[in-house]
Amino acid sequence: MTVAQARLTDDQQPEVTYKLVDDVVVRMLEPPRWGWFALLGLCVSLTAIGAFCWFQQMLYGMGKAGIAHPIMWGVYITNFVFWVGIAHSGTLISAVLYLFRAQFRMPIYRLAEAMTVFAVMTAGLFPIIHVGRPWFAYWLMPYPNQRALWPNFRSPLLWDVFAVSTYFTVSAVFFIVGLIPDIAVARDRAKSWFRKTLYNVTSIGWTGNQRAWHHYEAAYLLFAALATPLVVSVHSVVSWDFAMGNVPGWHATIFPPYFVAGAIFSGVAMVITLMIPIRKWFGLEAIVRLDHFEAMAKLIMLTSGIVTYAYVTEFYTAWWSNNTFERYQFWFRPFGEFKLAFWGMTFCNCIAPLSLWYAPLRRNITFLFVLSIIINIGMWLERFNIIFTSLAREFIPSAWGGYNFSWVELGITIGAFGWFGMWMTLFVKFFPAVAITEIKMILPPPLRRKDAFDHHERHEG
Amino acid sequence: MTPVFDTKGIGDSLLEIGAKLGNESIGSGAKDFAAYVKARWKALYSQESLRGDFETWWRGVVEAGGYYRSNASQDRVRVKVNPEAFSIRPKSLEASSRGVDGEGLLLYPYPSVKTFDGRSANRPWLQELPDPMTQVVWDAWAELHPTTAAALGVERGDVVSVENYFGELELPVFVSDHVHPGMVAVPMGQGHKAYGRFAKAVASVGNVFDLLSNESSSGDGVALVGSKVSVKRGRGKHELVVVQGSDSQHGRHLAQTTFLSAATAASAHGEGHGAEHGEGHHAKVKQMFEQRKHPMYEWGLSIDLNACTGCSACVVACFAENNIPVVGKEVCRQGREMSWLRIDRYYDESPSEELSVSFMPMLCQHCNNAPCEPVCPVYATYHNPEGLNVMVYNRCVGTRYCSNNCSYKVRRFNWYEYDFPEPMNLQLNPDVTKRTAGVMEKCTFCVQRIQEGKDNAKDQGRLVQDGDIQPACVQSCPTQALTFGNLNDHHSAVSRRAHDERSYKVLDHHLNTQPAISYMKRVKYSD
Repeated sequence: MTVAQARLTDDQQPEVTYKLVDDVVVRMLEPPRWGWFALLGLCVSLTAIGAFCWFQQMLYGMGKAGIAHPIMWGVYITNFVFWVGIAHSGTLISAVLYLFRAQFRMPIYRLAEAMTVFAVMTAGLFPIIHVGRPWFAYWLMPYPNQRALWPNFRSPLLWDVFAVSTYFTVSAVFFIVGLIPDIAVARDRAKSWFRKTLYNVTSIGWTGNQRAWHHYEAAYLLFAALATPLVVSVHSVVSWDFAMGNVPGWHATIFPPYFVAGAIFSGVAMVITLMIPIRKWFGLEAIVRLDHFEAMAKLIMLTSGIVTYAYVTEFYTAWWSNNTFERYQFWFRPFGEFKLAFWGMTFCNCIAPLSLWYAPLRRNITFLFVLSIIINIGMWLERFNIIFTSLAREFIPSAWGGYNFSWVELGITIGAFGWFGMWMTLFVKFFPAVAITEIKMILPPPLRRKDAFDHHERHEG
Repeated sequence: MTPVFDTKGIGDSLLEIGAKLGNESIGSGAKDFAAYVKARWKALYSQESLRGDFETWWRGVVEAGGYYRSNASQDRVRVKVNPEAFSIRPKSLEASSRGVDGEGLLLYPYPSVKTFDGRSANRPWLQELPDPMTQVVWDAWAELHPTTAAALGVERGDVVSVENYFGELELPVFVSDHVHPGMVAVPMGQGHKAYGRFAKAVASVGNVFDLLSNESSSGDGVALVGSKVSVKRGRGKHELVVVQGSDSQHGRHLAQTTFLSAATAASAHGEGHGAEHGEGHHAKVKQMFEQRKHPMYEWGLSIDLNACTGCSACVVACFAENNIPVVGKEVCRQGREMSWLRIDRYYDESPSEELSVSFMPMLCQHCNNAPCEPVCPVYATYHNPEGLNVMVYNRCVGTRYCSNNCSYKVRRFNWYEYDFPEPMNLQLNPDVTKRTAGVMEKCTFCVQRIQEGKDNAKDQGRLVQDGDIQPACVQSCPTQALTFGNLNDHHSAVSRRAHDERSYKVLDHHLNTQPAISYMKRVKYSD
């Protein structure tokens, strides 16, 4: 089947067979054309820019960034929370929705999982980038040392270390194990020496016999169960970086659910942002259908609602508390120096997703693409709001201050996007970005006699 | 002096080298440098035909540091023009209006705490010191009343041209309620074109003395307030770096004042009006956790806001004692000044006067319940058994969470590797670590002095007594507004002050940080 044949219009419902799935997905792994190289080149250049900026900062000091007293955490922590948040959605889609047996996740979860792993890799850079002496960042790890020093387990930053590294480990293992049968499909069709070797190694001798599948299913279920609590716990721990501080605007119990919902929100939006171009460039329209996008759009509506509720709660509790510091903070957010960020955030996160209540828009690919980018901008602005405005106006008015945005930070932020993009670009070309095996699980199996299989008795699973 | 290890001084080395080279007559055959010097002075002694025993005279000369002929330069020299004193001569206050268009404004060059009359403009500590009232660093400015500024259509940072017959200056504007509407006040002492690199850094604002009329001076002084100037909007902007964030306390009761009316002032005790906040020692808040014990010493500080004049000597003393780098105007503009102790200046309405200014020294409060301590992931800051919040520079990774969580915002971060250009590196205190880039720092209550005090006491076989240890800020305060000592000792000055009815702790009421520093309310009169 050619790309043209597979690229049907979105309303059509072609018959999806095992063969179509194999063909379409393995076709993604064909030797790349110039477009892919151009994209990879762009991502690598952006990463190089980021690396250069980081090098400047390490050479001259944190002064190269825009951070200043009292806003001691700025663009880097905003980026950190942004990327960790994005990662959560992938685990939600692949693990949590697996446990709920949600069929709509099938074509999208592999890409979402890849997004998780690479987003955590990107997020993990930022704690190292933002510290004043990154060459000592390893002191946050509890390793045996001759001074018998432990790190401080009461510090939320240390909880972060454990949460994020656990999340990375579990997600990566979940991802790699889940990929094995699909890599085996690619292995069987690989032609070049490089790919044959790569797939041989990463599919660890998968034979596809009954026992292998049995073990695979069991392992997958266990990993899904293991990864599920992480969706809630990791971003809660990240939210405690803020909620455990006494800063007005940070010290609120709404933070864990607020952050987790926001993470799902931005992650689903990022999945859409990634999926739409990949679907177009690789001709996946037959497999990744409008129904799937509609399901993701509904997730966006739900999480947008939760996030809006959280914003309202923050303002309400600040007013109701009668606490002069909290009240001032929540006046400053909409009317102070950073009000553009606040209103931008409100528009992008609360108002723009309301458009999805109009059903046709949920099935409009262009609209969803634009909206997903708006949402990600809004979620970046949300973290900006939380960090910058709260730190700018704390308890002692003489210490109130502002920020000096610098090109070094911009370079590193762009570099992070480039780093993420580089890994995604490499991934889609070398590994199956759509889960072949799981899609096949919900399709009628190929039989010699078409009527030998009754659709209605097909076991859902 | 006592030889350092087994080294030799230059003189002794030269003598020894000469002897080894075979030159026996070098140093007139003296066996060591001390003998050589003494022999030379003996020659002087004979030459001067002095009476008395040589050894006695020699000891006297060594003590005095030299031999000063008694009949030399004993005449007193009268300097005609005496620049040291500013005297007020009401008669010569008629302002000279030469060269002024229209009404003009009265020029008031005022001696600045930073530069006085300009003599200390080359001291980087003083240039970086924020002017107590305006909180501007590294600059001079034209202080205008809001009505004057509105009439000119200028705001802070706009350049105005201040001119009269005698000169012209381009100065940035600072709008302040605290100057008379008919006046323009300019701090004197900036605008040096020579003198030194730090003075020259502020050359662009020009020298306000250029505008002074010499017509009303009478030979033994310069008439400071005797010239009028016309102030016009100039071109462009000259950014003034103000290190204070907000000028108002926003009702947060940080620098507190207690008001006495005439009736209560007459009696022994005055009832404070703003007394609801933070009477820490009266109302013991029930604590959730077991409190720390301080078995030996518990260091504390008391700051009497009634005595504090905002002179900022403590700020500069802290720089001197603790090797704090001067970062320059641009870095200050970025909000990255390094002062561990700052004087917050608040303008707030008060019932008894139109304009009220409160000065509040703010430094690390060494909170018993410090918010900065639990959040450091590497234990670079912790509480020691003597009540100090200790900063371990070599453990700090630089996550800066401690600064975010510090409610008083007294922590400073080393954004760059700051250098101490020659010869300032010779001033560095060897007892204090010089911090590297990427590390947090803050007031340590001069822990090096505490340690020295404890060591001295131990050498003498006793405990530290009240008054033995004085941090640099306490030592330098001219009004003795700061008192340091052991809170465990109930007779110490700091304990007595901490239990004074005027004493309170900043933000403790809201945050339960339990600072070791208590502030004493300012006392003001209200009718």
